Order: sequence, then structure tokens, then C-alpha cells
Amino acid sequence: MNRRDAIRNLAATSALSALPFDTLIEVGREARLAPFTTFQTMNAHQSSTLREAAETILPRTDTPGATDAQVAEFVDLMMSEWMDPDERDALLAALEELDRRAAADHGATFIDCDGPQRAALMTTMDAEVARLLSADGAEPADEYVEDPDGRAYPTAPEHPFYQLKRWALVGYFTSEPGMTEALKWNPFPGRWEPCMTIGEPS
Amino acid sequence: MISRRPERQSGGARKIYDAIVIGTGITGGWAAKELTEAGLDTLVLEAGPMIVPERDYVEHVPPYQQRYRGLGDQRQAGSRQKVQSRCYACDEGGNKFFVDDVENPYTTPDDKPFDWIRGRQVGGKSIMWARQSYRLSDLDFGAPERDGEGIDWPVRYADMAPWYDYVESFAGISGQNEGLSQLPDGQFLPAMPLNCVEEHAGAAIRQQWPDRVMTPGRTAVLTQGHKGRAACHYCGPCHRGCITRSYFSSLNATLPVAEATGNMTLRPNSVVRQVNWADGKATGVTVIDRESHEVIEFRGRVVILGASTLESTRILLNSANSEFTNGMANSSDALGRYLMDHTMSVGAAGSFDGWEDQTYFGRRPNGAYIARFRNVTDTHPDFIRGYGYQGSAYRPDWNRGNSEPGFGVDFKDDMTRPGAWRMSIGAWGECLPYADNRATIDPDVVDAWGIPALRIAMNWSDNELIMQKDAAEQAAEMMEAAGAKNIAMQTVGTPPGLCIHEMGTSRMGRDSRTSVLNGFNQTWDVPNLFVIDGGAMTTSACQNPSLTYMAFTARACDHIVGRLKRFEL
Repeated sequence: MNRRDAIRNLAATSALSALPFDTLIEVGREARLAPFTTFQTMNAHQSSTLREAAETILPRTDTPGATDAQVAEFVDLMMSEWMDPDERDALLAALEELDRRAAADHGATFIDCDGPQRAALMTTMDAEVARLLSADGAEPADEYVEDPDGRAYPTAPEHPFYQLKRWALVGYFTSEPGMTEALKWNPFPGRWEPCMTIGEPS
Repeated sequence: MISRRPERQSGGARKIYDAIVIGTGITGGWAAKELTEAGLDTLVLEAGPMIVPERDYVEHVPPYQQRYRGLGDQRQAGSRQKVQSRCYACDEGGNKFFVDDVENPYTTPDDKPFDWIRGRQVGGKSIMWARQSYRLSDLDFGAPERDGEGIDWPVRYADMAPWYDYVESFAGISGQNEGLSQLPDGQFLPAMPLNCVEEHAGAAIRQQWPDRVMTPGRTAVLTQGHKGRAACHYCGPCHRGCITRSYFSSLNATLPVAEATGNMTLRPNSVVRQVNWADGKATGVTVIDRESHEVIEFRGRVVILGASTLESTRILLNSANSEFTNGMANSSDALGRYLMDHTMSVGAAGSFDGWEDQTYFGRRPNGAYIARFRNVTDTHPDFIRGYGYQGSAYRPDWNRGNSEPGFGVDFKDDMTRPGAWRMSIGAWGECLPYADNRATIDPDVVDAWGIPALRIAMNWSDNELIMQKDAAEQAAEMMEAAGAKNIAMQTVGTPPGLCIHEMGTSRMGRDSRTSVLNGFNQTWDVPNLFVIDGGAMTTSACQNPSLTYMAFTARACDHIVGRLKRFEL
């Protein structure tokens, strides 16, 4: 780069500060990503299982749910491009674990269970994670939590339900519907208000 | 004003600049501003590429417009930014502001990990810095004289106070005056007030320990319009740039002023290979073009290194010649030694019952600060010097969901609301200067431009580690006094380097036998060669150091301009 280019670049950036604030803050906010297309890692059964599991964790209410937010599609992208093989395999195993428990308790795959059956399965698994979390407190865990089949998970993050919940949370609350509709995330608060009462107009 | 000299003819046309500034970060940007405003024809060299805010800043890209939602490309990081990605700011939006570790290697002994975090672009690390800005005091400048550890600073607070005033007034620092001798007041814009739990905790702590003062963080973020730059709009991720120029960086503040003078020639992509020398003086620098690898020589009457502590030291070590066989301006053998960083990350966190109906609005790029209280008026039996805390109280967002039971409709609704209050504080501790904490040239490793790389050997010693233990315990005690529940102590700190406050490897002093620089950042050995970055620090103190680098740079530039006017350089 020569001096002339350097000056032009700096001059261009200096001009920015003359733009109106509303124009300035739009810089860089344009859509950058293409829509999700096909699943790369999960097969049809796996992706359906993940979709239904995520929807059970974060269902559609008066705001969009995990399915609306394309959580399964996002997680497939992360499995394909982001996770290391161990993490990916553990998450796929978590999906299998849902089916295994569904078969044991209800004689069906997870996606063939009805709503109350899915909730019952998750209530059991959630309680297992809760026990691990309390064991994960200030003192190192001195007991392993075993599932009904005697499988042991030494820490909460290794529990299949913890992993499913983690990716449901990340996939949903970083999505556009999750951020803009459920969280009503404000990209430009515009001021710092150190103390305010929740629910009162700010 | 200094008259421009006509270009000298030597073989071909070869211009001699009044000054060559190496680096465009916090200190290089300040030097560019100060020297060009004084009328010096100044060449500013930057190893990395140009940054154009409207193209390169990414603070307003929402997570759902980032491929990995802000979690970063960890496979790319694993292969190209294994070290850099240990810094929180090297994230999916901001990782382009950190170097490629493969192009920029360095080595360490196996038992002495050191995380060297670097930014190579116009603006340097001033783009991603954490902006906390605190003055040093005579508790710091007088420390070696008082306790005998290290060499005496060649300055005292009275020398620096006007320069702190000067740089604060331009940069725009928000903060609150507290009248503390160990953390001097400044020229502050309005503070970002503490939230209700911080206010409560600060009052409770002070009630139990009257000398422990919590104050809003002093930060280089504008709380009102300032010198043509807009007030902060509290969007959050400052480390990815700021299109409204609301925080201080070279790109947002100093370089545009330098450019407007017409006296700056800014050359990005200029990797400095060495400082050249003849007849007792620096004559200029040799540069390797980052892209073409062309070797280019530039000449100047004064050479000013602001390439970052370890990069400037590396340039000097790589500038050894027949006169300076162990590195330029290194007759003291202090160059590369006395490497310091701040200890970081020990502290405590806890949850608070109450204030359920209270929250805050805006993503404050700042927090609370607890000023140093150890070895201020009393003497601790186990360690010298001290530490300060940074921290904040907050209501966790949906990220807490994995540590709370539940799923389904109620759980989802709960995750859209703020969680129970938590507060966390962590200590930044002073590190003493040790001759063996040292950077040298690794004879076996070169970077992508064939320039010999550094070997960095540093570890914490007893004073740092004993101090950290105290800092963790005191943090827990203070959280307890504030009424926190479920208090967890963090007792393991980060390895050296990760605080990114590396400093001291070309320290200033009163004696040319034990220091590289005099009190004006001028090398003892080469009168027209200066180092203005953190390399100059004689001690580390415990305050975030960038504001002090700014003050020293402005003061050094004033000295340079005066000496040039009197033809003394």
C-alpha cells in the first residue's frame, strides 16, 4: 500500500463519524449467512430425534420453539464443521440413549413417544444431571451417578441430557428467533442504567 | 515547527524522515499524533495490514449472522491460532485482529509456558484492549527505593501527573475521583455507575475494611461526546471494533489526528527486520514487506520503537552489530530481561439473594474496581507490593441453563429472564522484575519473513504466588462480608503472558549499567533511539498499564521534539 491509499483509507474512515448514528450502527449488520440446506452428519432418524428433543426442552409457546429456530440444522452444522470427533460422537450417542430409554420404558423410539412419555424420560435424566451438578459443587464429586442400567457419568457435562440441553440452549438462544423474539435482545441499548426495576418502562 | 529537510541524494533519491515510528498500537498511535502535530515529517510503520473500520469492524454482527454463532471456528483456531485463542477477545468476530501463530512462532522452555498474545494490524492491540485505565502513584514509582526490589524508577508521580492529565483529556477516560493516594484521581468523564448489588457490596466491604474502596472501573470509553467521538451506545463487544469511535484506540482517536496534519506517512505491511546504525546513531530501519517480502530501507533522524514490549525487544536483539554484539543499545545486558506480566484470575464469586426485581439496562463495557489495599499504609508479613480487583455483579442470562434443572415451557420462560444475582471479583497482581524472566533470540526458529524468533522463559516466583493466595482469600472474605452465598474461590491463576500486560524488557532507570532507557524512554547507548512501549516499565505495579504507556509516550515525544529543535539528536 502506498501513502495515497493509506490516506484514502483513513479519510474514508474519518468520514464515517459524520454519518448519522442510525446509519453508522447499521454498518456490518446485513445478513451474511446462507440458509441451512441439507444435513451433513445426522441421518433422518437422528435429526428427527434431535429436533423433537430440542423442542421438548424449548417448546413453541407464544414465542418460537427450537424447531422454528432450526436448532437441529444448526447442531448438524456444528457436528460437521466445529465439534471434535469425540464431542460429536458423544452427542450422537446421547440421541441413541434417548431411544434406548424410550424402548425400555415405553417400547418405542423417542420420536414415537407421545408428549407425556418424552417428558417422563427427560424428567428422569434431568434429575440425574441435577444430582451430578450438586456433586460438582465446591467439593470434588466423590460419587458417580448411575443411570438405571448402571452406566456411570463422572461429571454433569458427560451426561447425555446435559449435552442435549446445552446444544438446545445454544442453538435456540443464539438464533434469530431466539434472540429477537424470545429474548427481545436489544442490539443498541444506547445507555447504561445501573439499577432499574424489572417491568417498569426504562 | 521543524522545517522539512530536502530529500538527500545518496545513490538514488533517499528521503530522511524526521522520525520513524515502529508500531501503530497504543503507543505508536500516540507517537504518530504527537510528532506530526509538532510538525515532524513522520514515517509510521506497521507490520500488519490496514484496518478500515467500515469494512473490518464486526461488533454489530449478531451471533445469528456468524457461522458458529460466536463460538469461534475452533478447528481453524486449533491449527492457526492455538495460542491467540486463549485470549477471550480472540473470538469468532475478533480473531482476525490476532496474529497467525504459524506465521509468528516463538518458543518457550517446556516447563515455562508463556502465552504471547499479539495483534498485527493498523491499530495493533488498541483495537482489542480491555480499556481499563489507571494511574500509577508514588507507591509504585517509589517502590524499589522503599523495599529494595528492583532498580529505582527515574521518575516520580509529580513528573508524570501532567502527562496523565494530558493523555486522559484527549483519550476520554470515564471514572470517579476517590482521593486515594495509591490510585490518583484524574481528568475523568462521568463514571459508569455501579449497579445496585455492586453498590451494596462496595458499602459492605468498606464498612468492614475502611481502606478497601470499590469504584466504577476507569475505562477509556466515552460516557459523553468527546472531541468529535460519540458516546458509548452500550452494545457490548468492544474488542471487535467500534464504528462510533466511542472507545479509545489508535484507529478511533490518535491516527486520524496524525493523518489530518499531513505530516504522517503510514506504511502498513512493513515488518521491521532491524534498526540500522552508524557512527553512534540509529540511521533508520530495514523493513521486509509483509506481502511481497521485498527488503526496503528507511532512514530517519530519530527511531522510535512502539512495536509492543516483546516485539520491540526482539527488533533490538535482532539488530546486533559489531558495536552491540548482544543486541542494540544493550551495553547493560538488561535488554530482554526483567520480563513482567500481571498475575490474573484468582479471586472469588458468589450468588446474592434479593434484588429480584432489580436489574440494569445496557451492556456496560466495564465493571467495578477495588483499589489496592495491601502494603499501602501497613506492611504485609508475607509479600511486598499488592493487587487490585476487577469484577462485577450481574444477572446471568440463558447460559446458566445448563447448571439449572428443568426443561419445557416454564424452563424456557425462565431462561428469557435474568437469573439470580451473582458477583465475581478477580485480582490483578504485581509481578517483580527478575533477571531470569527473559526473552532471547532462538537460534533455530524464524518467522514467515525469515526473522529470528524469540525464546521466552518466564515463571511466577514466590512473591507473586503468595500474593495470589492472599488475593483469593481476601476476595472470598469480601464476598462473604457483602452477603454472598455459595462462595467459590478461584485459586489458580493464568500462566504468564495471558494478562497481556507483558512489560519491562527494555526498562528505564537512572543508571546505564542496569537499564536500557533513561527517564525519557531514550536508550542510553544510542541517543536518537527510543522505546515507548511497555518495555520501558521499571516495575509492573498492579494497575492496567496502557494509560501509563500513553503518558510516557507523550512525555518522550515532547522531549524528542525539544531536542530535535535544539539539534541535539
